[in-house]
Amino acid sequence: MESCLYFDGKTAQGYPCTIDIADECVYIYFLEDKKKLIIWNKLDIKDFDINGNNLIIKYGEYPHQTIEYIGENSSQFFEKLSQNNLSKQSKSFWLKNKVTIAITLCVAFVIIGLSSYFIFLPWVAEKAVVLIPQSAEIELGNAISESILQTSTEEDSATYYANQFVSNLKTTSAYSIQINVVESNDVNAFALPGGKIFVYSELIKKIESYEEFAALLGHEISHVTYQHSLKSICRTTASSIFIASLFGDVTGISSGIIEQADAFKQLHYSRELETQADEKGLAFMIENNVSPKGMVGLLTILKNESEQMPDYMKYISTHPETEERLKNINSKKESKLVFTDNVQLKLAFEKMKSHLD
Amino acid sequence: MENTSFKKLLKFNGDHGQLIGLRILNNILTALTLGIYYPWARAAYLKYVYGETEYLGTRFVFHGTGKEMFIGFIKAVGVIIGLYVFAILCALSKVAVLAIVGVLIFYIAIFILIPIAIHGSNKYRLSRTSWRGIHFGYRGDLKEFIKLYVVQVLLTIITLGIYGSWMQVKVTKYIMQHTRFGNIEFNFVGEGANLFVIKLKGVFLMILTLGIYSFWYYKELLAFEVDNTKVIQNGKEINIRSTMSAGQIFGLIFTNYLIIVFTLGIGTGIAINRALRTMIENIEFDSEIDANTLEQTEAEYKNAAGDDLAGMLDISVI
Repeated sequence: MESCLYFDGKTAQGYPCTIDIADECVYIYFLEDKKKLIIWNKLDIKDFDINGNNLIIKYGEYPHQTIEYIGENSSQFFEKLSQNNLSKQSKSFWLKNKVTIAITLCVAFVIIGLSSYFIFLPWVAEKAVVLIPQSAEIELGNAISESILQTSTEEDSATYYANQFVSNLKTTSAYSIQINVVESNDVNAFALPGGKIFVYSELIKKIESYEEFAALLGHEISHVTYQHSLKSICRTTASSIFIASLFGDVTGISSGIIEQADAFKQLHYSRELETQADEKGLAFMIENNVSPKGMVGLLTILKNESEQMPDYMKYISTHPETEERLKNINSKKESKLVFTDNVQLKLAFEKMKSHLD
Repeated sequence: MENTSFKKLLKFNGDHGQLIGLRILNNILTALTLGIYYPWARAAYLKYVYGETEYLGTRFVFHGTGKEMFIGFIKAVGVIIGLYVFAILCALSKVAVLAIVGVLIFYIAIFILIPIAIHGSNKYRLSRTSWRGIHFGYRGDLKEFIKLYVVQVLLTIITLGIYGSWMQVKVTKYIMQHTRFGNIEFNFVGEGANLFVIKLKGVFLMILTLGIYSFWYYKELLAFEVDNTKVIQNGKEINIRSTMSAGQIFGLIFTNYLIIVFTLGIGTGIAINRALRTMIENIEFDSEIDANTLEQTEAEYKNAAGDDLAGMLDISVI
């Protein structure tokens, strides 16, 4: 017996009452008019629903009679009414286990989300790279290269000798390698998809031997051969599509935070690629009978450069700590091999350098 | 109007945990079902908002169901897809005239869909809302409303937007005058000229104060909507007013923004609750309705297509 309000559906006047839910009927006893009793057949109950601790029972045809109950026992009432009604029983189950179900769903969603982000997405991106035809990759590289050349000055003679240097090297790369030397005060070099490699003049000025230059090319050619740029692009694109679809409606600052977190993951990936390029570059040197001490020399130049960098730049630099890269190379037994000088490479290197000084 | 006679009779009981849970569940299920769950999500949300709002100690009830809204959703999606297919076919026909006519018809149809959506949404939403067993209702006539809307929009376009304030008042007036709550009627007594002055003043002061005036502007707009709405029961008029201050609006927007940002969107439920509570609990009435003489008058109406259409066209009703 619980106290409720009864509405007859004709006016908004509420009649205080108590209800008793039996197996087949609901008995409504009126508090103000003790003689009055209404009996509802459970089969004619139109609907009942619960919101918070507010239970509402609708009875009969429209305009419905209604009973409203607000109190502790509403979920018990709800359960009593739900007998023989499957969908209401599931709602009752949901009400009783609301917290557990909600937490389970959230955890499941987070696990699915995280595993898609960390496992499924990289896998898809990796597969997508295979699907991109080589011609498209080369075209993409050409387009980027053109836009770079529009805003920077190419060192024509140095470029010529750099390419002569490459032609004296054996490569197993499926791409035709082309070097562009451009004027810049930065100590840097990078590889585009499809075979184009850009080297900044300042880096060549810092490089002292042809072995070091061969090490640089070995590193960059590995980036080309193993399609590192394309893999990075595919990963970044897949990640941003995923994030946009998940956090589509978040505001500026939070999307900024998420983007940074994502960039951090991409950074980790590029560090993996750099280490791979170092190792493949080393193998490339051995294959061409170039002394591996060049790689050590090159990394030392980069290390000296990075020491001049402010700390925060080191943190976000795409290359792994040069110290670690040096250690990694020195730990390889091949790095101790010694070869005799390659005269042609030496000559091409010296001519290239002389055009920059 | 004496200040002392106004009373706060509405209360919003929204619970943060409940709304956050509801939103997470709605979002997850909508995502997992590729959007098919949307009508059920919408019904659950409306049920929450209406169910947590109480007048004179009794909560409102939203009777709409996911199933009704799903049927409406299918109709609304059908109409919109049909329009797109038509426009695309016209464009693909490679006949220049047909392509232009196709695009034109597409835009005109979308334009006419707006009053249809407003009408349908009002009709469905009001009919499916009750208080103490008495249902609201909307008695507007669709053809009449489309005509009114189209003429008003054309006038607004011809006057380069100046007529917009008068249009807004005319449309609100039509909707209010055709809204029923049992035998209670509503009216809107705002004047286009007053709204125009509010907007004009708003634009100038906002420029002069580099946008700081916007909080006072929103306050005035809200007060214009609320204060000019009248509730009429048995010939007796009940006055309403909004007591929302510019400071409250500023505080609400500022803190809600921080909540949403720093919870990465998860706390949007808290922000919605706070906004609803502030809005609802700032509405005051100069007298109560008489529940004992409030009679059921409205027929049942279950077609949710207009409401779903309004949801898709991003039109907010009430």
